[in-house]
Amino acid sequence: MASLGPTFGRGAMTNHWNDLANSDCILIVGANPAENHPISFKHIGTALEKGAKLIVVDPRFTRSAAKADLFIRLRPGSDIALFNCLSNYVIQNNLFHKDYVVNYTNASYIIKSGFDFQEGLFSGFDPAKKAYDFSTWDYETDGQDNPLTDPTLQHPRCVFQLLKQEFSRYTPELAEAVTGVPKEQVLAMAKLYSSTGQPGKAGTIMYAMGATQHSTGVQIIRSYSILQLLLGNMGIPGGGINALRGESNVQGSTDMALLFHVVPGYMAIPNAANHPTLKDYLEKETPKASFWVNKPKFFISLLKAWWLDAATPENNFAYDYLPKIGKGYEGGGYSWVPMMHAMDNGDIKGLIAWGMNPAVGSANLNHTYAALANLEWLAAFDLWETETAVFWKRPGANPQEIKTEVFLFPVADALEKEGSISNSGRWIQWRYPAAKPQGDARSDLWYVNRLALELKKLYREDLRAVCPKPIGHLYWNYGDNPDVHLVAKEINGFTVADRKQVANFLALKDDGSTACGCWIYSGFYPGLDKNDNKAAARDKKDPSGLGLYPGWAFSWPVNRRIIYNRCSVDAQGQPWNPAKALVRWDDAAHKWIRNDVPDFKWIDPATKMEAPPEASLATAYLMLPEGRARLFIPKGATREGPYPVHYEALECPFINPVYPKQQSNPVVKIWKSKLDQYAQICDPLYPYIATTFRLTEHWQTGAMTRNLPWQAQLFPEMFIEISPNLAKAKGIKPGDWLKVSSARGSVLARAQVTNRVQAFRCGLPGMETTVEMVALPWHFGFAGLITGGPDKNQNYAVNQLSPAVGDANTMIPEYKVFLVNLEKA
Amino acid sequence: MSKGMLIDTTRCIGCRACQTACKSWNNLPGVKTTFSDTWSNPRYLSSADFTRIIFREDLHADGTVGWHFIKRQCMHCNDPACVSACPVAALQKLANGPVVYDDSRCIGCRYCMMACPFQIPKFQWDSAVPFIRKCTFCADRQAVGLEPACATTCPTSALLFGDRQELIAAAWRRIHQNPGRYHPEVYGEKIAGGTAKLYLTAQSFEALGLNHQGFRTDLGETPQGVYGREWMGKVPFVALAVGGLTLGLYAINRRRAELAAAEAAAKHEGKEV
Amino acid sequence: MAEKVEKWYPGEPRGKISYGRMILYSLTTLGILSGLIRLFFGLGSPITNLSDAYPWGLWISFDVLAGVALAGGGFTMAATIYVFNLKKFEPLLRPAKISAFLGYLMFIFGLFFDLGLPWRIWHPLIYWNTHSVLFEVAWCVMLYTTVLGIDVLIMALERFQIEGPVRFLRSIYVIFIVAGIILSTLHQSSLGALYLLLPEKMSELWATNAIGILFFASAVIGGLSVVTIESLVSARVYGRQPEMHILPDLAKGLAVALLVYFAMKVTDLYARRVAFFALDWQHLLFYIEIFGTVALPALLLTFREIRESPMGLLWCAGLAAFGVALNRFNVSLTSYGGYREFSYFPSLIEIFLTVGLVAGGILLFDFLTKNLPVYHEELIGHGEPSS
Ligand SMILES: Nc1nc2c(c(=O)[nH]1)N[C@H]1C(S)=C(S)[C@@H](COP(=O)(O)OP(=O)(O)OC[C@H]3O[C@@H](n4cnc5c(=O)[nH]c(N)nc54)[C@H](O)[C@@H]3O)O[C@H]1N2
Ligand SMILES: Nc1nc2c(c(=O)[nH]1)N[C@H]1C(S)=C(S)[C@@H](COP(=O)(O)OP(=O)(O)OC[C@H]3O[C@@H](n4cnc5c(=O)[nH]c(N)nc54)[C@H](O)[C@@H]3O)O[C@H]1N2
Ligand code: SF4
Ligand code: SF4
Ligand code: SF4
Ligand code: SF4
Ligand code: SF4
Ligand SMILES: [Mo]
Repeated sequence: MASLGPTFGRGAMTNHWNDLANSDCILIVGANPAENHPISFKHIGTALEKGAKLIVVDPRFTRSAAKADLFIRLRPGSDIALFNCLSNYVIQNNLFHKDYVVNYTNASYIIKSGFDFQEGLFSGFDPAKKAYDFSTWDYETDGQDNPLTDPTLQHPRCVFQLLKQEFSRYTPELAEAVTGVPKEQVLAMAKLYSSTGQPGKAGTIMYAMGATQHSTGVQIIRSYSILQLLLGNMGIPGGGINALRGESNVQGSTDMALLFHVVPGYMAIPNAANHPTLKDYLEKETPKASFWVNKPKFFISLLKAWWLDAATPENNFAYDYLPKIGKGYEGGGYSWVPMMHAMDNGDIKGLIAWGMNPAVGSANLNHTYAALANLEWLAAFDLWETETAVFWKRPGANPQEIKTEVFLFPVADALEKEGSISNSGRWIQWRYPAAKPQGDARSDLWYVNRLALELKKLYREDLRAVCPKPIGHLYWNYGDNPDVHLVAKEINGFTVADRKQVANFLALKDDGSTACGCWIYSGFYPGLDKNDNKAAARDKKDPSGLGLYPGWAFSWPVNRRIIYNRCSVDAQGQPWNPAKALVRWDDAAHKWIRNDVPDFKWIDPATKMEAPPEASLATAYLMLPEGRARLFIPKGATREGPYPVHYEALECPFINPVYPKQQSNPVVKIWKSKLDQYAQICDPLYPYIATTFRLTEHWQTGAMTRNLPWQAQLFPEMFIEISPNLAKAKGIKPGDWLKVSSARGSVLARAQVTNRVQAFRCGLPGMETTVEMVALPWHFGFAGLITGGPDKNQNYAVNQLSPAVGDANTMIPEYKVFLVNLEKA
Repeated sequence: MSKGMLIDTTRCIGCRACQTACKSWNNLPGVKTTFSDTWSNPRYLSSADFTRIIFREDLHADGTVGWHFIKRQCMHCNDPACVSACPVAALQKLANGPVVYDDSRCIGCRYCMMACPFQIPKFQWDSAVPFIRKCTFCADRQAVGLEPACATTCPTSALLFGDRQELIAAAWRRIHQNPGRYHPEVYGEKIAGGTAKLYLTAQSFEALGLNHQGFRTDLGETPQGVYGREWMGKVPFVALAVGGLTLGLYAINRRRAELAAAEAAAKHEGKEV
Repeated sequence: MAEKVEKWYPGEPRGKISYGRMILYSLTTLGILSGLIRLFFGLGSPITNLSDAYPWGLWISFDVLAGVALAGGGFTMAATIYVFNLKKFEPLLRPAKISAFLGYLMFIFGLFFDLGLPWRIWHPLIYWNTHSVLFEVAWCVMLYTTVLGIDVLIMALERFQIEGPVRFLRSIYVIFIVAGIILSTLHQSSLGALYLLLPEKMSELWATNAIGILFFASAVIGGLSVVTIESLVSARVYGRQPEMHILPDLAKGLAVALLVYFAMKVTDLYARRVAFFALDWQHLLFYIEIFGTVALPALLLTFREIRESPMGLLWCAGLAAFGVALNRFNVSLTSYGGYREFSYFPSLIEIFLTVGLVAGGILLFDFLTKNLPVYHEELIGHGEPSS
């Protein structure tokens, strides 16, 4: 998301599941949707039946790969080398979609002359701070803040030429040296996928954790995005770059800001240093151009939704009530790993693990356990007694030494409560309870409501309460037995004076006359009646035949099914592929024919008339100031560089073949503590690359599946995939128990000997070596019906091995590459 | 109209949702399993698992890997050997397709298990009151207009429920429209007299090495039950023939003995006969 | 029909509990215990080694298949005497009937424990599937056991000198003779025909369309050889004179049966073009079966010296009988290969139950022959009604 946002304007799946069926070539990379997003294969299957091709790029041969026309086995963490090579191929062979690139990307923008890239580092690097000064990473302007462009793409410092120059390094030979993919296969893939560059053809990229869980994750996705832009695959049916979201409602939860750096609707969280006042916040966070000029309306409506009548123009709409981040990690707030360190340091004293099980899922578990043990209290809200709830009696721990007081609250399952779930395709879908909660279990909403009401009461009654107003004045009015529809209606937004639901976010105001809990959702519940709840709409009609189903649920924003859809037509508003038109300009009628809700300025705000195509050309990516997608990201919105270059994972058995002087991401955050140990580069103690993955049959940390006998029987025990060669070399037979260890810890797993994993031959030309890769699922632990093995005194959680080094932007840990050793247990 | 299910294994992603859905609908107990090297788990069908996915990995000569996911369950034969075999007619083929089992009749002889060419019926070995168990084609769901649980659950439409004849036609359409993608045979169309479950595969079951995992390719087109029925058809005639012969010979013997006795008596009495 | 009622004088008292009987009693007890365990705990492991891969095991192959084939003496002797009119073999008839009756009892007991729901053993009476070979077997066995039961009943009635019913039964005895032969012909062959339905799971060495006829033919061998053995062994054990005046002639019949059977087998194998030569378990057992227990005894019996020596006879009949049992094992177990990666060996309980059944059968035989008019020397006027 931290990659898609700065590139396209929104951090979300651009198309949606059904739309996969419209694709001519589906490229799955860094994801395994057959296993983790099974339903996608309904639509992929349809596409394949219509003659589409499927490419799967993965270090392991997966159940997705089993369905592929072309399977590319690449070394984990090397995607950038492959994709820069593909982009290079597309540029060198003139296979890119020229009109698209000129009109819809910032390829023609000219970059400041100070900008440079040498030996693996961009200009402005400060080795002491391990950070960049971003001032040169910007557009050359005409002096009035208007970027200079060269639509011929010939200017040596235009984005296109800069990319062309750097990417020319990424030859198929180099790609092979980095990725281990034979160069013939690289070329085969380049040929197949670049065919989608023809106008009218659509290629889609599906990615997930295989792309993100790297210290270079953001840039890996940047490399996919650039290829998609060059081929003109964004904003069209069957195209897009589709981030397959994880947890069933993770899209909804991030929309609602279950992230450390934003408030609902993807607005930055106020920061103590940068935004001491509302004025600072609005000034600094509102860009001069793009749809985001409306941010004050959304932000102030949000404050109104929170404090309603207590939020007045006089008190800056209660802006001061809002806690600001700033104390947290380097002033950046607490993402997960920094939070663990703060707990370990004693800065954070209590933790609510609400619907999560970090005692299995967190990276470098031994550090996590230490952090949990340092808490005063821990409250787990869960369906099960998870590893987190019993972390104090895990194998090897002495409960007497752990002082943390633990509370476990039983929560109702998703099928036992009413509410909405937002899927990966941004569809908000309403659900009804199918069963009554078990025993004492209550819904999450019930608990939150109770908690809020109790806190309000405490703050009201306790005279010694410090800073009572933010909680005391909270607008909290959902009843004792909270009504989820009231919450939904508040999210949609209403006018404060007459309590009318707003039609959508265009009706929001920055004067405090409207309230809205999450502006991007605005419009999904536009009336007070339950029938107005569009998330519950179940119209199965598909007038366009493109699988858009506009009457089924509600897709944010304003029910757009495919975002950036201005790019599905040319400058004149005519579709690249007339058979698959999302919108089309009818010159005679002087209007847009619309199959989907236009995602551009199609109405002239002055005249309220439909605007001709020329007028909306520069709003194709209307959330970005340029109005165009970014091949080059200015101003350090991505911290390690404006475009992707290959760095190795932190733990790696090879010297970086592309930039030997710059082994890994220069701005990566490396934690130093007794429990944060790392293997050396090419460490002889840890000679194998390890990666972790998911299985269809288990859910995440396993609480949801290891406790269900039907699921448990499918994958009852922890295992490790190893190649037949490795097995032979080590005398390992299938099913043997192995002890796998990293610099941080060890875990037991049974040997699954399979040709689906293989060694990689990589390295600087002339210095190639062959290194085996092993792969482990991460669903096992030490609590529940099954744990992962027969021994009750073992912890089968793989994250005892993984490092807590994070991507510099998202801090997502590098779960997908680290070094291990293994021996027979 | 007889119903069928088209199992397009090229569409199957091996997610095993069908396995779980089947257990859920049929209220089957979870079983305790251990690590399975092939991923297939449980490793065999049983009275607690009416269906399962076989994972088949193969290494091609060029070093590439193939991986196939094959669902197994009762085939619901048109003319089922199990039905022919059962001495108490506990198994029945319904007109709409399913081969169903009546708990109250079964004596537990397990002849159906021996007879089934696809090795489907399973026995509740661990119970003191054991019954035969196998996929029911969700006859109970079909009776109320629902599709089988596995087909309803399958996320990829690898399991298509419908009219058997139409599915056969659809299967052949797929084969013809995607040359190279399918082994040109609809397994189940003819084998063993035809089955309600129909398979499309990328390679023949023989090539997949599943010939002895319940997908025999050498069964021919005659339903196995025919052999038993032919035999039974002869039984009355054999009985009559043997009976007649026995009775005849017996009568002749007896007549001879009487004559002999009479002759002896006559001799004894000195009379000429 | 000569409707005389046999007079019976008990022979020498033979009631002393010998060492042999001790063993038989303990084995029977063990069998009963095993049976109880099986009833309480079901058929699953570890009670039996039966499984979905091997739904039928020792009990079916031995108690049922071999048991019935070896109990074929009843109908074989009846046919010999009444149909083929070879009256001189009459002395062998009653013992043959007793052993047949016991054989079938054993079958029923064996089946009772083998059935998953034994208390429903009678279900074929009311639930009919006339397409099922097993249905036919069930009915035939039921009826035939009844016929044999009536035979034993007759003996019992004679024993207690209840003459009226005996007269009546004798008056309709022809019905039993005919029924017995029909029923035996049918179910002896149908037991083989059970396997017609699963050719694909059987080794081609045994999977043949002719299996019914082969079963029938080998049941004749089973009958003749067991009658021979029984005569020789009971003579030895009970201190009787073996019927050496007729046994050699019976052995001729046995030799003919063996030769015919051998010819049938060879013809069948040839007609089906079976790969006859190989060195594996199945082939080894097959060679033993066909050469060791069919061809060999047939060959030996062509020698008059062997036919006329009790020891020689015993060996030959023993080999032939063993051969029949082996054939049933081979058909039902050696040949069977549903799942490739499984093998089956009976559990202790299975073995105990089978051994217990055999031991119990011998004890019953002992009891019945001791208490009923069975042996010809004990009968006045030479036993059976001869027309
Ligand atoms: N059944 C099931 N479904 C799930 C989940 C689950 O636990 N179980 N979890 C959900 C959640 S929260 C998430 S986030 C998603 C995650 O969905 P995915 O991202 O699909 O999950 P993973 O299996 O972790 O990783 C995907 C693939 O990335 C590959 N990979 C590893 N390293 C690299 C690399 O460097 N480059 C490339 N190209 N590939 C690499 C791995 O081999 C793996 O096959 O799944 C969601 N869906
Ligand atoms: N090695 C390795 N580690 C990883 C990953 C990896 O790929 N490799 N992936 C990472 C990723 S992408 C993720 S998202 C994290 C996930 O890590 P977690 O979020 O910690 O894992 P889950 O198992 O999804 O935890 C969800 C918990 O919520 C409970 N739950 C389910 N429904 C409800 C509900 O309605 N209400 C409440 N209150 N609780 C509920 C479940 O029982 C479960 O315990 O793990 C990360 N860890
Ligand atoms: S969310 Fe549910 S329905 Fe969707 S793919 Fe996952 S398991 Fe299937
Ligand atoms: S597959 Fe077997 S159990 Fe199923 S109907 Fe056919 S013969 Fe009967
Ligand atoms: S086990 Fe039951 S269903 Fe199977 S053949 Fe015997 S009686 Fe019929
Ligand atoms: S048809 Fe019904 S019983 Fe058969 S496998 Fe599918 S869900 Fe199970
Ligand atoms: S549910 Fe469908 S896709 Fe999944 S394993 Fe079963 S048949 Fe295959
Ligand atoms: Mo996730």
